[in-house]
Amino acid sequence: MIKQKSFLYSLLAAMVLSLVTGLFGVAMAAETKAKVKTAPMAIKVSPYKAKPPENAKSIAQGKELYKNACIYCHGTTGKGDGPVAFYLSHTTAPRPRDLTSGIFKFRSTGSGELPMDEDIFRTITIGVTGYMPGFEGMSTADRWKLVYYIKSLNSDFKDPDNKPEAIKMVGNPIPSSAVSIRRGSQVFSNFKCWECHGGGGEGDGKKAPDLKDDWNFPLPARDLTRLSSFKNGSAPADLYRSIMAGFDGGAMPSYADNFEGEEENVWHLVNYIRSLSE
Amino acid sequence: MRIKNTGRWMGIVTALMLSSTVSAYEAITVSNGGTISGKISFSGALPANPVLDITKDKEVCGTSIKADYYVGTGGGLGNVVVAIEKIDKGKAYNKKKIIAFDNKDCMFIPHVTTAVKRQKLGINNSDPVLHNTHLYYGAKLKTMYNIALPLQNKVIKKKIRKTGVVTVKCDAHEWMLGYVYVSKHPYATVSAANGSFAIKDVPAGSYKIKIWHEKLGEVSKDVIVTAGGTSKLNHSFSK
Repeated sequence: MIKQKSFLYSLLAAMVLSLVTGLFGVAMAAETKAKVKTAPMAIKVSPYKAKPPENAKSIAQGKELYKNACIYCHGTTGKGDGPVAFYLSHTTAPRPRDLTSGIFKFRSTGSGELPMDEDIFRTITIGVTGYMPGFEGMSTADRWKLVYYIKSLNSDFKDPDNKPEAIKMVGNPIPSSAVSIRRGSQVFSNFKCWECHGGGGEGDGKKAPDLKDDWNFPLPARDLTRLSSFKNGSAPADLYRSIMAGFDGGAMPSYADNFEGEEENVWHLVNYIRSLSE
Repeated sequence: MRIKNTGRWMGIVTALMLSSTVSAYEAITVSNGGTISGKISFSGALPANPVLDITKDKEVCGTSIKADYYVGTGGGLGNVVVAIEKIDKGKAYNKKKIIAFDNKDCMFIPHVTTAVKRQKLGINNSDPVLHNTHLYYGAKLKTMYNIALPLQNKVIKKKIRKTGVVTVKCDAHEWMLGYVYVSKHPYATVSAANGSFAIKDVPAGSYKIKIWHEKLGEVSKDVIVTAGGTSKLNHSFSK
């Protein structure tokens, strides 16, 4: 009887939480949209300075933080199977990530590589638009400890062979202009972005319908005309990162090797994509 | 309670650290090594390859492609991986060799190939449409990497970091399928269409040989290699 009651309580708690998470996502999406035009880089560099040491103690502290903030969606063992996960989109991607899998969608590293610590830190901080809330309210040191705990869930992070290397961000964002947008549109055409994202960028390309993620959930191509819905951020630097690194676990491949030596084209492409929402 | 938890946690960390220590392959001079050779066959008539469902890019891919799951001539079976399961020391190999892997007519060529861990695949797109080469490892098909190939005849070179059967797919064309068998050593090969194969310069000793086919499964066979000798190894798959 008691057991049943406590189950009901946790069910109720999960439902309330999922509602809150949903509202949070909506509020955040609205905020992102308002920021779009002036958004500089997705995240300031200053928080990185206060990086605490990565050791057994900080990992254990990270685990305690994880228990408070993350288990509801990502589960007690990090497999993405927490109680709230049940309420998040049953039939479509994305599901809460299996943090033990070693597959990270939001990276600044090449496809198949582990993320940089900063990548995990950024995702914890800004969240995933429309899905995961950002945890900017958590102290910088605590967010780092969470990063360390998450890294401890997959042994690949301990193998020096797998040490990730960030893709270089070559050149600065090129200020948007009619000329740059036109060049970007050419890149969009030449590099066949339209085959998935559609000629008008609305996510309705000929290859869009059957795309799936690693867990076999449908994950259609992003509608690029809705900047505020971009899961990995909508600032120029965010788009540069998404194009170059791709989204591991999903269908979006990495374009880093294709743009090697002509990174300027990526910035034009970024301007073109951002212009689709104006 | 708290202490107990921390203790368990430390145990997990230690276990993870230990599991990540892997034995590396050591290249030595193999003089008077032996050869493992033989024939992989299929008893009875080869199963028919299904016609694949071509749903897009028909102007490039065509409207009808037969799968290449079963390939064989004269009773032999091709595209079978034959590999020594475990060998820590043996012949040197070219670490910089680029393993050719083409996207042609919306199929992967070769369909099955081998590579040594950390060698690079040289992925090409011979077609005028967007392909993406998406490598998966393990039975649960987890992403190893996913590379866009928007440009015709531009080769993208990419290292392979995991061992075992790597499945290759193209998200853009769901019928495309290929395999790379990745080992820590160079003693792995793929049988020819007539079923024949040979693994050369093997140091004398006894080995377990893995024989793998994408549809027919996997068997393990014992073989003893003598200095300068040829050890025969045949296997017949059946449905």
